[in-house]
Order: sequence, then C-alpha cells, then structure tokens
Amino acid sequence: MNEEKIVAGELISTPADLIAKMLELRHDADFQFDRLLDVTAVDRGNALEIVYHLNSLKTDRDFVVRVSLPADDPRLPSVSGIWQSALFGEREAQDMFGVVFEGHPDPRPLLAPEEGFGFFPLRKNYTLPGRAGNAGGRCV
Amino acid sequence: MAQMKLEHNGTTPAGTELYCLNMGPQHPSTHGVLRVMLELDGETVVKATPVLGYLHRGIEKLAEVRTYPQFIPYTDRLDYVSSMCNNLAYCQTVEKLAGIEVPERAEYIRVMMAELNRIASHMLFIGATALDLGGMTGMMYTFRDREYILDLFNLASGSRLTYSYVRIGGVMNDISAEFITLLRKFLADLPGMLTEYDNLINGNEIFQARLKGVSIIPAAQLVSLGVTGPVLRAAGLRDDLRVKRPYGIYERFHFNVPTGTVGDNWERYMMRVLEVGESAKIIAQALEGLPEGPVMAKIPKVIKPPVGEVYHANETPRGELGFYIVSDGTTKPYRLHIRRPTFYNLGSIETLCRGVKIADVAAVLAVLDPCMGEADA
Repeated sequence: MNEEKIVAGELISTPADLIAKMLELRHDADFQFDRLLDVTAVDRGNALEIVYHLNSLKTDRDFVVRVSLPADDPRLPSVSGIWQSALFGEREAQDMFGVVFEGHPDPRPLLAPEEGFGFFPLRKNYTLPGRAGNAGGRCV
Repeated sequence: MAQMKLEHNGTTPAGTELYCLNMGPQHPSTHGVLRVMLELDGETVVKATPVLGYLHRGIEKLAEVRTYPQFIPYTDRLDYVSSMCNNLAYCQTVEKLAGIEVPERAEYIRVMMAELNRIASHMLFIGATALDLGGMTGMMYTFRDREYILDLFNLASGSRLTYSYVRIGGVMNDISAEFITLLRKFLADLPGMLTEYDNLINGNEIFQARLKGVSIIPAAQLVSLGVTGPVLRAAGLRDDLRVKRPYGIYERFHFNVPTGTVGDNWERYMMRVLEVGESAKIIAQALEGLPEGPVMAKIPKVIKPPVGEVYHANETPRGELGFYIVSDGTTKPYRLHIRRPTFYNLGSIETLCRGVKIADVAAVLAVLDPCMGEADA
C-alpha cells in the first residue's frame, strides 16, 4: 500500500558505490536527474539512513536514493561535485546528525554555531530539555 | 565581469588588498538575520559567503514530540509571510500519508487562501525591493494593499500572520458572506493597485537601471544549485509545481506561468509582479466555482497514519516547499524534514553575487526574497 505513496523510483546504495551510481543517475540518458532537491537523514537506531531526493526537469521524474550508515561512524562521500545544492543540504545533515561527508569543500557548521552544538539534535538519543529524562521531568 | 586573480600573498595584480566586509546579521536589507561575508576587490564582490542559523529553532526536532495536528502552528512560523501556503503543504502531506479525502468546498477555499497569500507575499516583496533600492515610497503603497489581504485573513482565521487556518482534512471554518464580498472588492481593486505599482515602481527608470543586466546566471547552474520558484523561472524554465504536478485541485484552473528570457535581477523581480495577476485569475475562478458543502472531512479524533513515508511538495511564493514525513504508525511523526526553498535559494548567493558591485548585493538579496524563518527552520 505504501509503495504507491512513496515517490516513483527508489534505489539503495552503499557509501562505496554511491558516487558511481549518482553519476549514472545524473548523466545517463534514461535518468538525467539534473537536480538534487534535498538531502536529509533518518535515525534508525543503530543505523543512520541518508535520503537523497532527486528530480529531473527533463523527464519530470522523482527518484529516491538511500544509503544506510553505522550510527557510530557515519561517513560517505559528498555528492556536491555532482549537484551544487548538496553544498548546503549536506552541511545541514552534518550539523543535525553528525554525518561526515567526505570531500565536501566547505564542511563548516551551517545552522549550528561555529563551534557546533556539541551534540546532534536530530538524533534520537538527544531528548529535548524539559522532556522525560531531561531536567528531572520539569517542563522548561 | 572578470574576476581578478589573487596573487599568492592575498593581493591583486594591481597591488591592492582584498577587503572583508560583514553584511548583517543586523542589516536592513537582509530581511531578517542573514549574514553575508563579502570579500571585496575595490567595489567588486569576489566572494560572498552566507552565514545562516541565527533563527534556528529546531522545528524538525519539535515535530517529533508533537502530534500531527499540533505541528500545524509551527509551519506558520517557517515562512511567516506566506503561512497559508505552509499550512497547506504540511496538511496535504499528512493527508497523503493517512489517505484523507478533503471536501470540495475546503479545496476551493484552500486554493483561494494560498493564492491570496501569494499575492500578499509578492506585495511585500515588491515593496521591500523598492525599499532596498532606496525607494521608500514604494513600500508604503504595497504595504497598504497587503493590509487588505491580512484583514481578509483576519476575518477568516482570526489572525493576521500566523493563521493555522488549513487543517488536516479541510480548513478551520467556513468563510462568511462578508469575506466573499470583501474578496470580490479586493479583486476589483487589484488591477488599479498594479497600475499604481507600474507607474510608481516598475516604470521608474532608476529602479530598472539598478536591476537590469545584473547577476545573470545560466539556468543550468541554478538548477544544480537547487534554486526553485520565481528565481528559476526568470531564467526561462517553466518550473511550477501547480502546473507540472498539480496538487489539490489546481488542474481545474487556467493561468499562465510567467517565465523570463535573460534571467537578470529585473526579470526575477518582474516574475513576482506578473504572478500577482495570475494568482488573481485563480482566485476569481475559485470564487466562481466555489461549491456548497462541508469544509472539514470526517477524520478520526486521533490521527495515526500507517507506517510509511511520504514526500510532498507545494509551490509557495519562494519555490518548492516539500515535507518529508516518516511515520512509525504512532500519533507523532518519527521524522519530519522540511525542504525549505529559501534555504536552498540562499545557497546560490555565492554564485549570484560573484562579480557584482557592492551596491548591487542588496538588490541580489532583495530579489532572492529570502525569509530567514524558513531558511533556518
């Protein structure tokens, strides 16, 4: 049931062959995904899932690429050489989840302060202050 | 404009030094708290680095500890000058995930509200651009007219800016006969307002000279940068989700998508001016076809979408606003990510500003129409 609701195409990749697959999606005549709409991550407990939303202006198709990374050492190559929008999207995922995008030309914090938050706010092991387990249950 | 090559000791061939200038975060033309670090060679910008995050509130994290309906007011605070469009994008995403059908009348009201908000947002843009380029008077006229729309929204939802009017399954409440009368009056007055802007702002020779031919970027590069909305359309691409992938009932309306040919600041500005007229066309058609009936679907008291995920995007005044929701079958989203158009549009600042004169940086920022509440989330 949910397959219909998920956008048309999908592909699961690994950090090792990510760049090769992304280059194929970008340049292959069958795909021509000329823009990367969004990069984000989902915390799946032991794994961090990086989700890329691709779109083609030429064929008007959507595509989702997923990469699963170990939560304790999440690193994968940056796709900013293929789509420039990844320059911003990857930095956001880096601030929020602590994902290391290897080869990113400017990996400074973007939404976080210059020295970083000191934690990764969108990971599930970070609870909001004032929520159960933090601040002794007080609502802040 | 040719970019001067730096010698190894940070000087230009002429022997002058690069100058670093901070623009913002407190600067009137950054429309909020955006900081741009400019590297200047005389008056020419060599590099512009945007610094974001001053308004980061962690909205995506907050979503994970709130139920689906409880998150609607947070979407108001993303792009606070087009809250209706944000409400609509979020509610449609949840409806898509949970399989909720929306009554016809609610669909029509939603379209009217979203397009009215687009006009209000573009009016603010026109005025703010004039203001940024030194035309203080222009702003007064567009803000006067925008207030009319805010009064309409106030009548329908009870607030001027943060509406939370679009709800999951429909809209908050029905619109009154008074609302429809006032809306018809506004639509009748709108051509006069646009003529006034044409005479006062768009037709101004100095205003045109400040925008024409500045910051021309090829469409392919903007696509790679993830730029969406009027800025991309000004470069000649007919990329509008309302036409390309009609959400809600948009396929029932006839309107044009203005596109540019050159892709300079002037066309980026004119896209918005032209879109105001197109939005008015949509509202007139929606008013014409407005059916009777309920404005809220019969939805369960507790919204529990099935396990799964969905990405749904709307065309807001600033570009493609997408919500990516991962549901684990509970009442709260497991993960909610927002693809904010302003965030990715700001990523293009470095490209847009390279080689322009420092006085034009304010113009480049103005026609990018950033809303920092959205960019920083």
